[in-house]
Amino acid sequence: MALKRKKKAFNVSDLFFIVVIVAVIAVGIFLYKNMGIGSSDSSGSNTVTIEYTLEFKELNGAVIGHVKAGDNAQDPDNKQSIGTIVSVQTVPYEEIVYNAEDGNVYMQANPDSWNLLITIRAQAEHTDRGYYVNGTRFLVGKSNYLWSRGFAGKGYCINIREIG
Amino acid sequence: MNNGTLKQKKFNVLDWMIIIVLILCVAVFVLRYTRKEDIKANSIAGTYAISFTVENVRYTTSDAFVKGDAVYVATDDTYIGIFDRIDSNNPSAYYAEDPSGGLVKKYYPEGTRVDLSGTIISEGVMNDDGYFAGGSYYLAPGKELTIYTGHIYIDIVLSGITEYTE
Repeated sequence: MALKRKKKAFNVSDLFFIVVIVAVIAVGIFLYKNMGIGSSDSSGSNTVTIEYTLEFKELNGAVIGHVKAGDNAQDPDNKQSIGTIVSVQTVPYEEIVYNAEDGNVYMQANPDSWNLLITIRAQAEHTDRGYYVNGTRFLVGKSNYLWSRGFAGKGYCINIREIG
Repeated sequence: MNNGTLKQKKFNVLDWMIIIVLILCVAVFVLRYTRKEDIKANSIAGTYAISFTVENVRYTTSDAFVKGDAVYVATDDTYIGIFDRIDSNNPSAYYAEDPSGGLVKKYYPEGTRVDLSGTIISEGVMNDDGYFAGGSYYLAPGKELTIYTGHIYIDIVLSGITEYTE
């Protein structure tokens, strides 16, 4: 005698799975619309050539002098190029001091500390969320890590200039 | 003797758990939207001027504030408005100790460190609970935020929220 299988009824588990699927779709739509995920960020972006300067503060004199213009700069996180170094400037690290005799304050250079200003030229995508160089975002005030042949460190971006 | 029909599954504990989870989801959903309706019912939607201060930054920082830039909160990428203007740009205060041990208020020399204040224009609602940018993102004077635009990334402290008049 053939075994007759009873047809399964639509039950609570089925309903639960449908709700989960609908929720996943709803979250996907929310992310797409509100977070810009999936949207073409480049639609609101333009490619520009920029020169940005990273400031590395309070460095020991021993690490100065190894980095030079022409070196490639890299983001250590994604190992991508973040441009070519176009200038390197070393300036004394200055601290504010108060002169009780004349009642004024002065900026005084620390003889053992230096600030390194490294200016880098790169092609960037400019969006309303910043400048992106091979996926690395640059904004004035934001810190970035840099690797190059002659120097590695974490500096703050102090200016960005569009040059083309 | 086999009657050829499989026995129908009983309603079990798992089913009950699923039902409870579904009821909870519906309850949370209803509460969330009831609350949102309450906020809307007792609020004034409009354009607001959010003023903010920035302390002790490099003197060139103000150059990176560009009028019309969209302003986002860095922690969650929430859009809160557009940058309108820098209202003040003054040397930062420095508190030095004088020979008697007291504090003397001085200011950083020109071209070094500055304090800024500025304004963001925001669309949102104001009600008894405060201001909600975009209808849902709570902002109030005293709140510290890291914001970014297309040009700058910076810590600010909100100092006032008023209805915007051009």
